[in-house]
Amino acid sequence: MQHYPASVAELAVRQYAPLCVRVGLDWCVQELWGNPGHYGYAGLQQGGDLRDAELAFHGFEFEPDESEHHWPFLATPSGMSAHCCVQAVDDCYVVTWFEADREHAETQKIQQVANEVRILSYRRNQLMVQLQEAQETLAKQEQELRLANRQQARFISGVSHEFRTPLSSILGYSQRLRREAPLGEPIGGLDVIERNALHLLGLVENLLDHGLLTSGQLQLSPSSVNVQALLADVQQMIGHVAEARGLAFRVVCADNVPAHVWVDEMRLRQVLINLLDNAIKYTKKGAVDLSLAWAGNHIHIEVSDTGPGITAELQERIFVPFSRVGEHDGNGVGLGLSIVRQLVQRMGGRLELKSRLGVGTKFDIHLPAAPVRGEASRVDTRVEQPVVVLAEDDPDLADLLSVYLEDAGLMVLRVESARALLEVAVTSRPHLVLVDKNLSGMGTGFKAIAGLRDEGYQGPVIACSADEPAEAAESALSVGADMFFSKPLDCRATVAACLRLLGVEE
Amino acid sequence: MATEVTRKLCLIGDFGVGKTSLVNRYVREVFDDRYLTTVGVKIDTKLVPVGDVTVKLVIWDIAGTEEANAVYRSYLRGMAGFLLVADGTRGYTLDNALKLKQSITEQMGELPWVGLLNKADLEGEWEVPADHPALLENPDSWLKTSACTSDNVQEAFEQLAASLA
Repeated sequence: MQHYPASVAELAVRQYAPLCVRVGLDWCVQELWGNPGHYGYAGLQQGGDLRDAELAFHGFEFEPDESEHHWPFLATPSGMSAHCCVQAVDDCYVVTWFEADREHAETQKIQQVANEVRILSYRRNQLMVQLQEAQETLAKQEQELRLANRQQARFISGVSHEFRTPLSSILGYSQRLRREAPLGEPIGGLDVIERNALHLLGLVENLLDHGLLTSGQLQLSPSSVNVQALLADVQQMIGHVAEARGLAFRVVCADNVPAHVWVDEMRLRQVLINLLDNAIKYTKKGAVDLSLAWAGNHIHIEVSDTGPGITAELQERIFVPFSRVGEHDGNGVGLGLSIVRQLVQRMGGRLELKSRLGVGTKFDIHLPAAPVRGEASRVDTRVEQPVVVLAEDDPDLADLLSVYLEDAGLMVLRVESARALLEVAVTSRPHLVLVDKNLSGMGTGFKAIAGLRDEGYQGPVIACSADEPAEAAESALSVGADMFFSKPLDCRATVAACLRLLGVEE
Repeated sequence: MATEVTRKLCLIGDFGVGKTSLVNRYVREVFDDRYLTTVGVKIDTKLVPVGDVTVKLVIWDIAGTEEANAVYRSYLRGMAGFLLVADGTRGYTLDNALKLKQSITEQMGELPWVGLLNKADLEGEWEVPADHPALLENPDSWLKTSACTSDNVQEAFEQLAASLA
């Protein structure tokens, strides 16, 4: 075997600082080449036991037929990394170390990254699994929630229906009794009946709305709304209440407010009445004002009072459901303002409250509302005695409505079934049809409206129902009704609507 | 004068399970939560009295691996027993450790061992179920350890040393 040139041997020594030790089979050092101190074996010398300097050789034995053994990247006592090789040569062992610090550092750098990537990858996969499980749980909970919401909505709708139908009769007949009573003669207990029935109705309405708003099931039914008519109604409703409390009530509408706007009339009315009713309740003297302005397809509504004002602490609490604050909260359950704010938000608007103690409170509402142009009457105003078909299977309510309609100069044809309604519509060509949703069967009244439209009937149709109002209204309008009233019916408002649709002056 | 015996023990297990941290905690009583992967092998020693005998443990901290290849086996030569280490927060490291143990047993025969489920301080991230078959099969051979808090670290080494004395 040829020896390497001396320069190569020098290069190898410079690059790898080899240390070579020949030991006997008892690991006693016989001969040394290189610098033991470089690897931390400074005390190593001839006659010494290699195993005392390097722990790695404790327990080491060659296997049969083995003459060479390698330990790559062995950390030596000096902290240096070395490749170590043991060779069995004749009756001794030759142990050689080659410095591998640089190689160790490079390998360590690569391995570190690889290991960290694998651990992070594992953690990411675990998180993905957890995320998937969380998503599945959420989906399941959402499904359960939806089911619960549907059950809640059905329950609320059912309860609402059960309350509204008898309240319809109670309020209607009490109004009739009042109307028929001799002028100025008090009727014992009638005020109490009306007040309590209205109170009960208010509670039912609020609970219903709260349920629908919190379950996200409240549907809006926007339509063309006559702003002045709405303000007149509100003024009529609120004016006498304010007057009874010795308060001034002023309604101001800016000239640029469109005559008709596209909003949910029932919900807008509800917001106004709730705020005004509240303002009157808390204001002992002075005035309550309602003003409307218009800017950029938004109605700006302002309800202000000269009441005691609301402390900063209470300004947020008053919007929390079921929170009753203040001394004059009456008999409510603390839902009014919560519903107002939710309704405004649901309609895409915003509500702001400004209040100063001892000065008063102001609610500002900015509500998006597209203007409606070209609103015109659909009916022939030259009819002498308009004919109205009243499709209502509740005889008490049918009696009551008939009286109001006839008093308004209308001819009433009463039917109790959908089939009868379609027959009368064909034979009598009525000027207006007033239909209850359920005529001897669920939804039969609304199906009859669709039937009327299919038959080509073009006159106005008013639908009514004791079911949940938003859903029923949407359903009614979708089958061809022009207007919807929720039960309990306000008989006077219903008749007024009939006359308005017929183009007849009240 | 007490008898001294020298015994080589190795820490066996996947990478990142905390083998080096266990040695640092046991030999130097220090802990660093930064992960620095081991390349090759580092050797430490510690004297453990076991009755009348002092066992000089020569502790081989070998780079983590999933399988015992030829280079890995070269480090194990002369081993008297081993600590089988898994990371309790990564369940698969226990399975890998068990495969390593089986491979070693096939090569070297039955040797004394102690199993360590390390990182016991991270109980909230624990993945190894208490009813894992390997734990049920040898319940006395497994310890939940933490190099961070030093829980059961000394006990693990001494339990193995006792079986090597």
